Amino acid sequence: MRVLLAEDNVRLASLINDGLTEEGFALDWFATLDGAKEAAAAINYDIALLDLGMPDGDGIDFIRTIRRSGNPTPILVITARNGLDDRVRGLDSGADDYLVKPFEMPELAARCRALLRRPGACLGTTLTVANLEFDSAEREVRVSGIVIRVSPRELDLLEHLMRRVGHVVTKESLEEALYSLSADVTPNALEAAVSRLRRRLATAKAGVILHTAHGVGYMLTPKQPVCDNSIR
Amino acid sequence: MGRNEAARARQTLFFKLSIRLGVVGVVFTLAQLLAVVWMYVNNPNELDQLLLTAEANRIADGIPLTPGGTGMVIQDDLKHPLAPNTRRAFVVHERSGQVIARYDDGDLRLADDPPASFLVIRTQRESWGDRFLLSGTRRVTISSHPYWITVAVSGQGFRPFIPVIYNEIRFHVVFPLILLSIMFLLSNFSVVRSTLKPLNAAIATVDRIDPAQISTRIEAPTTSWEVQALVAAVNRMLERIERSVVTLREFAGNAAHELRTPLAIMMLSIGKLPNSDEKSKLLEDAQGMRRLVDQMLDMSHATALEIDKGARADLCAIARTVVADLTPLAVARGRRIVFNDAGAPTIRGHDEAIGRALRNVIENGLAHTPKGTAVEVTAGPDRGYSVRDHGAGIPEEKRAKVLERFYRVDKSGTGGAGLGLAIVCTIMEAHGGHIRIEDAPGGGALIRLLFPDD
Repeated sequence: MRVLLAEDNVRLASLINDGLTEEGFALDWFATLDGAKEAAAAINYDIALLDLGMPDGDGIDFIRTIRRSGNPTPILVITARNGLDDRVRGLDSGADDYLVKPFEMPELAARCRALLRRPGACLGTTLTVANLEFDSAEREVRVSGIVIRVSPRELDLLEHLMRRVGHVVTKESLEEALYSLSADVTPNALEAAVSRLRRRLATAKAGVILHTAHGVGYMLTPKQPVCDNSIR
Repeated sequence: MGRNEAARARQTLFFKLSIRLGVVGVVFTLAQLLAVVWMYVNNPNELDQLLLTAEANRIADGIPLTPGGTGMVIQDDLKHPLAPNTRRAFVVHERSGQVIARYDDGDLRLADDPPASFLVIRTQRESWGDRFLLSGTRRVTISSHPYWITVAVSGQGFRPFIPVIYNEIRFHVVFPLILLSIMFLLSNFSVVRSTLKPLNAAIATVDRIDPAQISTRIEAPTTSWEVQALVAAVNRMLERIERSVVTLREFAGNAAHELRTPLAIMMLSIGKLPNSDEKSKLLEDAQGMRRLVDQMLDMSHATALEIDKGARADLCAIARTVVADLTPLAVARGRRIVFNDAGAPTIRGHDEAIGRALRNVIENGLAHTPKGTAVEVTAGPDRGYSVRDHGAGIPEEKRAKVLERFYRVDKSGTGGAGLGLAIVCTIMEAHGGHIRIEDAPGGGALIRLLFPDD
């Protein structure tokens, strides 16, 4: 996985470089926006990490330039600015995710992988949470290597939950993704699918928990929670 | 309430001006009265004439309207003189010289002779020491028949003249003055009101300034210099406020960068250490510091919050996002968040700021609700949220305290700077709303965030 890193602080850049290299990413580091722009034009990166406060310009302009040129590379903004309008401004300009400093390495790595997992992004056809694996090419679910039988609708549901593992996926987005074509959706259809999937995962002794975020949606987490520092 | 309003009405410029102008009117009236009295006292001839004329007019009222009647009947009250402590006699003649009425008390008498000339109106005064004798003739016309009334009055000192002075003042001073005063006061009322109108308009304009929109300036509703000066002063003040808010915002932005980058370096460096107790302690400290920096900067952002005129915030959507964001944290800590959409509306407001306010309240609830219980978040049904936990609740005497900056119930805790609810309070105030802390039925704290009508 080739990653572009635009960060003006040498020490921070080298720490990020070390950490992500250990996670299997290959980093190209640039201390100026101009350097990053040239590189982004020349090489197809799988992901771009961008500090907004660069010495030679506003990172927001960089994002706009990249997006105008039709470059779909996922961009993760890494910034110290957490003002009330900063996040919206960053995402509106075309960034895909927004990570506020300071952060820990596992969090950054998780965000990068989440971006790569997005449909259209390049990362693997296999999603893994604990002993649960989802092969998106084969449309197959395995627990500890053993294939279990799951209905197509539950398969879609599981894929959505696994792509956003550790985060709540809202009912609305699940309903839209799962039932967009069928006109006769009962209000309980999603709940029924979730409880069937939950039973199946439990029977197969999958090391995950399917949480209900009451009134909002559902969240899949591993039984042994990983250190997740996205939350204060 | 009514008493307060009355007290407030007494404090208005309008009231004060009206009262002062009214007092000035009263003083002028009194001065006018004194001047008139002084004038008469210094002009005894005038008083003599007035007294005789007054007596003659009184007598004339008794003359029958049909000429050549059986003569004049003298009513009882006409037998007493007008002036106190005086004696008086009178005779009434027709043109032919015939006496149609006479009256005397026996001491002071008048001859029956007709006046020497029917053309002359005369007044005569004879004095001995402070005693006087006035005599004179007045001509009156009743039903187009002329009559001559001859009157003689004797008396002593000044007192006999008091009734005529009183009458004179009553008819020629008080009546016109009261009329004038009423007109004066009425015109005061409208003049003062119309003069103060631009000031009231300026007050209304200043009142309408949205504290969350720091770039607003007001325009003078009039060309009056005073109001313009006031408006200019308010505008200068607004400018200063804007400058300080902008400075604060820039400071928060710069401080964020300066503080967070080294903190990021620190946390990543700690992350590279081999696993040990030391490492987890260091990491914990660094996380505590991150919370501190986050809260301080959030406070600055909240203080410098500016809400765009057309900014709309969907309270339900905001709550869903915040609950979804916080659920992983709640699950990791063995708590739950239950969200209930009770139909909160879309309001005018800054959605990111409102989200942070709600987030702080929910985090506060998660910190206090025991393991295995849920924090219940409800959006609506009125304009706002209620967040309930199952902790110990917040005792009544501490409710105001927990909203203050840097106040922590648990002094030894490492859970931030004690700014969480103060940030909420600041954001709510910027929206014209407020935060209310109550006891939840069945125990726990119930925190409500309430927004005003648009």
